[in-house]
Amino acid sequence: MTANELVALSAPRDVSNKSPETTQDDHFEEPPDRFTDLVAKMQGGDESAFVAVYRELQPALLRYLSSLVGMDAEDVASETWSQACRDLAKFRGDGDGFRAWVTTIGRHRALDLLRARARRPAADVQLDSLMQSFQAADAESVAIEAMTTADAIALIATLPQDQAEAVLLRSVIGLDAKAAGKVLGKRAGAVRTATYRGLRSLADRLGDPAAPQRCSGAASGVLDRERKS
Amino acid sequence: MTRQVSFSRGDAEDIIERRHVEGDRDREALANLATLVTLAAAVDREPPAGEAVAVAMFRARLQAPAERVKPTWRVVATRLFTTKTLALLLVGGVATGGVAYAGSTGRLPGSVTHSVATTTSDAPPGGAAASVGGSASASVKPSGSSPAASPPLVAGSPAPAGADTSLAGLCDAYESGTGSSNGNAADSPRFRSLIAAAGGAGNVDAYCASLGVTAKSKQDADSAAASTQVPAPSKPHGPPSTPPGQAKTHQNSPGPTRPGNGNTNGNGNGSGKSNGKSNGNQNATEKSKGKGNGSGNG
Repeated sequence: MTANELVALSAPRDVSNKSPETTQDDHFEEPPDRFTDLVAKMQGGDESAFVAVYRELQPALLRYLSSLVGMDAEDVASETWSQACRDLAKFRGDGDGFRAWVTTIGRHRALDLLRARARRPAADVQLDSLMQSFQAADAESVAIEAMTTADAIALIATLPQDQAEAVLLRSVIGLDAKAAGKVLGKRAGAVRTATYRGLRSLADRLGDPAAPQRCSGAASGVLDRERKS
Repeated sequence: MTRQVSFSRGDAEDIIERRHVEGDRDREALANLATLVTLAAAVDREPPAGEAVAVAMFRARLQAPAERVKPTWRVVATRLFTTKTLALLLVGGVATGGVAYAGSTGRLPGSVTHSVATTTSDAPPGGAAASVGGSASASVKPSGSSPAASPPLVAGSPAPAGADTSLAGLCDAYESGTGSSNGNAADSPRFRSLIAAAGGAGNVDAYCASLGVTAKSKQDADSAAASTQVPAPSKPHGPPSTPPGQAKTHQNSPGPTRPGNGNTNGNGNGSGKSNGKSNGNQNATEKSKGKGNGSGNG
């Protein structure tokens, strides 16, 4: 999916759960959502519920893990699900809690791998080449227009790890600052700070805001749609 | 990249939570960021790979019974402690010479752990009470093991039999030991508990006499031991321990609960905790045993 295709996208992922008027408190006021129901059924042994949970969570998990371990994300995700299935009976919580739980497992497995091979994900060839392409192209508007989901993840992954994790946990996995802090072992305030720094850095890399960009219309369109719906 | 994009933490929160960004500061930059975040979180068109594998994991987990939901460090520790305790008791044998002896005379290993657990693994007062009960019964028991001497004791015979017979057996061995080889027996660690029970090496003869086990009545003792061996096997298996324990310990301590505690320890090998403790408490237990016997005799 590219940024241009976003224009035609009817709704971003979370619209079903979060109305555009959401406030900071909406996490506490929401009634049990669809994902929470799925998690409960899955824990009861419902295989179709597991499939639904997997389909919802796995893409986000892969994206997050790829920022940590690059090409090994699939393997780490597989280990993650293996452990999650094994320990499923121990999990207590709702849908958001399950997201955070699985993500925590994945993070631990990823860090294990990183320790094992003792190198940073930034050394990944894929990311290196992507960074170069971003640095080489000073026509940033082109970059954002042609950008795919994978590109977006790769760009975020070029941030310092704490910022990349904060941004990805919150945007991709869909955790709030507090839940992300639990995964990362930080306070919510620290997560917000890391998010802020990460976004600032990304905004700089995305280019000169003064330059006319077609994609800005696309993005505004998304925002407008969110506002309306 | 010509200038720093400026926006607030609040803007960042709005973008990351994909809310509408207010104000017109750096609107384009914020819009780019919003696009980036939305892209990053966009839904894949195709279902993720690896689904079949994941489902297989899920299924496998379901089919495996709930075996390992619990085995935490606690259970492992329990097993370790039990094994270790058993090994220490059998090999070390310092405080448990009598028990070891009883074990060597053909009593079941289960009964060994049982008797030790009985005397050691509860709280000090309860433990004292229990061991008092055991030794008090010991003073009557071997002679009373013939049928109708004292009904309540007969009823109570199974539980403390370990203490009885082990002390009786120790007496037996002690007597023959002092008789044949000069005094070596008194030095042997295995008689420490007996000496402690008697309240001193000099009192052993008298104490053993009070147990009814002397060199002369050796055959009696043997037959008594044999007869107690019959009920003995059933003891470690639990059920009989409680009622007899209560009946018995009424002699010494009024409270039925404490004796109950003491005896119910015999039900199993005990929890890891209590066994682990019992290792460290062996000396104390011995002391309490000695105390108990003193009062029982007097």
